[in-house]
Amino acid sequence: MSSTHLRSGLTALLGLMACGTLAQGGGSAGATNAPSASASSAATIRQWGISLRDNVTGRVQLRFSSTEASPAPSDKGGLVPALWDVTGLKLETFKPDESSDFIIESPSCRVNVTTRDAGSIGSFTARRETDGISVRGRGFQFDGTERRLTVTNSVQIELRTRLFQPKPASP
Amino acid sequence: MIRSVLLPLLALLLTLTSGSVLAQQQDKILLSATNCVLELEKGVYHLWDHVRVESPGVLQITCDDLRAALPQDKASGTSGPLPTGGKLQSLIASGNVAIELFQPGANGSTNVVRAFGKQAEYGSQQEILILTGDPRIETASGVMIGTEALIYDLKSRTMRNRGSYRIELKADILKGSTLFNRSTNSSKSP
Repeated sequence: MSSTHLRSGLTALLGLMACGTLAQGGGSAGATNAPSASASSAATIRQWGISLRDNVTGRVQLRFSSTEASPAPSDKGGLVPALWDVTGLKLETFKPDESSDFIIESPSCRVNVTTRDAGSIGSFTARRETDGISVRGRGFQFDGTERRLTVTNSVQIELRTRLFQPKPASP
Repeated sequence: MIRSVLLPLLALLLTLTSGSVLAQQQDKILLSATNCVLELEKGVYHLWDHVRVESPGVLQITCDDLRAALPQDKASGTSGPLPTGGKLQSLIASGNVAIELFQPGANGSTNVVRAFGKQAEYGSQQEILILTGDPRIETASGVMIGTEALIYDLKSRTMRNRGSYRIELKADILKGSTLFNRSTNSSKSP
């Protein structure tokens, strides 16, 4: 395993452990412990969440959270399962100053915490509060490294902007 | 007495509200398509297949492929496109481009200008629309057909061209005109 992958794996493990603690502290009914390296594929975690940080600056870049998550079968082994099938995903992206940027929500999708991406063939919404951009559609793939959102079906985007200032009616 | 005060106030409120709703609509652009790739950090959006751009009360575009650059938030700290004061930075529509421009006319009417071409480019700095690839613009009075490019100034609502062009006027606009009502030489002769 390369040092980058080891680092991201450790970061992911720490994020998951922190989340598991929060779930227990909050007294959520049925909250499970954070998964260990031997987490079985049948385990389901409630109030799952993970924050991914920039390897250089240490600042939060992405935050995945969901109402439920379970490890998905994966070919590659590691400290933390890379693939997760999540329900009620909320994915937040952050600007370099750690202020909130886009928020992507999907009822059901698969998350890869190693490659920092998420995708689903189902519906999703994305929005940015600062300028009111909203996106919705069916079938998406989010590349967290490149901050690229690909939509494969029926995309609708609403922008709070204007093309130009229309000239008033002539008399 | 109360009625006489309330009614003008209500009318004023309605006027302000409708103006506000209109302004809100004009500050909104709706993009739809089958597929898209959104570069969230760069503010570059690429849509294709059944693309439709709608700016309510201003224009509507349909095309096969659209690339749009959006204003960036100043706080983003990225090296993306510069903010453009709330306006869309640029649009490049290509493939079966059809544009409908809605212009307010006299007495509350709306004039529709239709434009067709293989490609249309909009830039927010100059606020012009450049149509290329068999460009054609249709208005109520006729059609303008260009060979190279037709350039429509959205601010001044004027047209200019690159290359040669042809204008076909509708016969209706000559109705009532005195242009062809001159008396003939024979009638003038004694």
